[in-house]
Amino acid sequence: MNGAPQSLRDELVRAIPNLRAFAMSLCGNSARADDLAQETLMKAWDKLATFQVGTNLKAWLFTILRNIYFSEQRKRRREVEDADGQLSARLAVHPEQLGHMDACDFLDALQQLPIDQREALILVGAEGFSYEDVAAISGCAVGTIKSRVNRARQRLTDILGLANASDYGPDRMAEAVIAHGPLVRIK
Amino acid sequence: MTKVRGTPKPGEDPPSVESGKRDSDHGGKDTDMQISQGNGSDDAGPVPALGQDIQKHLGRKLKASYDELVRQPVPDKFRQLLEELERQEKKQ
Repeated sequence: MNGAPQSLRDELVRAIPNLRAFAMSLCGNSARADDLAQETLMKAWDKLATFQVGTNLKAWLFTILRNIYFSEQRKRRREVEDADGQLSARLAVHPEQLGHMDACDFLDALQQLPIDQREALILVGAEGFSYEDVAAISGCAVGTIKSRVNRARQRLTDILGLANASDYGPDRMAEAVIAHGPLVRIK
Repeated sequence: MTKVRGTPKPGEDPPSVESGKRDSDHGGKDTDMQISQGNGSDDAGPVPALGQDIQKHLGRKLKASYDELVRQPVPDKFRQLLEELERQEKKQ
């Protein structure tokens, strides 16, 4: 970080809560999320002099974090032969009911999304990055990110039991309202 | 996956991101959780549109849950790490 201006350092410190939240969303484990965020800080600190001032520091930091995460994932997959089996067990859907959700349940539901969809949805929908920034962060095309976000929304709706309005027959809709209260207005 | 740019290799320096200056044929932010269709290059098949109310609900829920994570207090080990990094730098 030799010669990097103080303002950059301050910005880096301010990004820590977001780095932790993003890491948590990716790996779903707070201890590992903190490790990821710390590794990101160390690497960023080291390379901050090479950061192009005027470009998006937060996007730069997020790129470092997700690259560390995905390279660890690749390493783990090589190490654990049974990774696929474990993944499918973890992805087994346990139905979440609308009206009984809090942030934990929602994050739990997020963890059931495929990782690429989860990453795209968080970056666009929660962090508010533009599709273009997310495409650069994830190293793929803008159209790919849009597709992932759409799929993530659809999948999340299914997991959370928020069906399309057209899927609600009068009886199912009445059941939903009685069981959980009219949290979502359904046309 | 026809338009995929080269994925940065792990260990390499990530590219700097110029906010809003990326070349794109689909400009615009999408923080309101609006559905935009027809750009699917990941998998085959269109994604059905979600109802507006459901979209809004999802968007709010996502933002609220994520913000709750962001608001979590940062553990002291982060301050210690930064102090350590500063110390090492001064030594050089």
